[in-house]
Amino acid sequence: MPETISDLIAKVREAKATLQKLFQATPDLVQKVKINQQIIRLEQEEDRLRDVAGRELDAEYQAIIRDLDAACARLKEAEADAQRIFGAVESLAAVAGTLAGIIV
Amino acid sequence: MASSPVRRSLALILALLAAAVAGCGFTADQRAAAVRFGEATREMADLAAEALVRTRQDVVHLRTRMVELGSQSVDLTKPASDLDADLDVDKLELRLRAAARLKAYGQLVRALAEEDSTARLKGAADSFIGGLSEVPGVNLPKEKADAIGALVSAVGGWFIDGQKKSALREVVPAARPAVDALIVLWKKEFDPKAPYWANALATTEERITGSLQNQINLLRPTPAGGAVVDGEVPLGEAEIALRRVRFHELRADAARRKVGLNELCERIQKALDLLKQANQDLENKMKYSDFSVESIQEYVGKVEECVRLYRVLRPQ
Repeated sequence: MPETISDLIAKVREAKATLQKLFQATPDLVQKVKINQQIIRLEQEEDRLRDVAGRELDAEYQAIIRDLDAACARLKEAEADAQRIFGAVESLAAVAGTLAGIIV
Repeated sequence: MASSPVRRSLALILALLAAAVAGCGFTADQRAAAVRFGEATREMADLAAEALVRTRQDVVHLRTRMVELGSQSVDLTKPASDLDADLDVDKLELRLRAAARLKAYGQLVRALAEEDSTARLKGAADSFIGGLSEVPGVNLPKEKADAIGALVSAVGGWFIDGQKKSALREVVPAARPAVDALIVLWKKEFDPKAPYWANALATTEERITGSLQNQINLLRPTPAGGAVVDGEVPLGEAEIALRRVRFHELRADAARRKVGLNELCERIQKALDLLKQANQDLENKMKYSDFSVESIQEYVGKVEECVRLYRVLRPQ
């Protein structure tokens, strides 16, 4: 099964944790500086992977926005129809009242 | 007493009306489901927008302080490692747009179901009665005028509500997967442990207690004219002490912001569960609740109202 972004991030974090243990265990300052630079490189790789993971969601967001836009448009149309019917009922009611009076 | 043709006609009209109302208008539980959905979407969209913006602001704030302390973890030349990490403005805009659309959709659903057309049609009913009373020779008793008004309002209201309900019956099932998909995305985005939006703050806090703390611990006073351990800026004892104080302040600040965001994420996770339930409930109610026990009781009430109007209006 191909590795997911989350799997890759987990691996990077694991490597970082190992390096951090090494950093604590090493007495030599120059070695510590080198190890910390490796940690920083891994952090930046993790940033990059997280960016890719976030970008993968963008297409899903766009599809959701499209669907909700369509739903909103249909509901606004229904509301406009209801307003038109309401106006028509109002106009008809006045005329119908007069007609009914004449018929009665 | 034998039925007159007028009485028979009136009775028939009211009987047909009573039968027709069964399919018209919203039942109380349909309205309640739409109101709950509207509330859930509003709360969720507002919480999501707050968390999206706040996370980015916190991340930019903390990473700016990290740069001031000489952190090499923040790299202004790399978009994913700069001040806002991977929380870029275009990503934020897209996510805020989704929140705004969800809120708009919820408010439209609620407005369509909640607005009582029967009450709004009272003006039309008054016009009808006004038209009747203007005809010379027509003298309508108040009781009958009120009954006619009630009938005009009710019929118009049921018809308009029927149109709205038909639109909701079409739209709600079609939009449900989009709302559910957004819930799934936000469950990920606002899980501080998953590698998405809220995680950027947790990660920033880890960098402070990780590589930045290492860097601060490695600082040594510069020997006269010599190189410093971090190979960057020559530092005196006073400057190192000041950096350490600032580092501890930053670490405390980051921890506080992380706790605040975690609390917000917990609220969001609960609100998402409620929204999921409200979304499902709305679809179920729009599809099936016309013939629930409660709705049948409502129809009985409507039929009783028709019978009452018939009694008032029938020729004596």
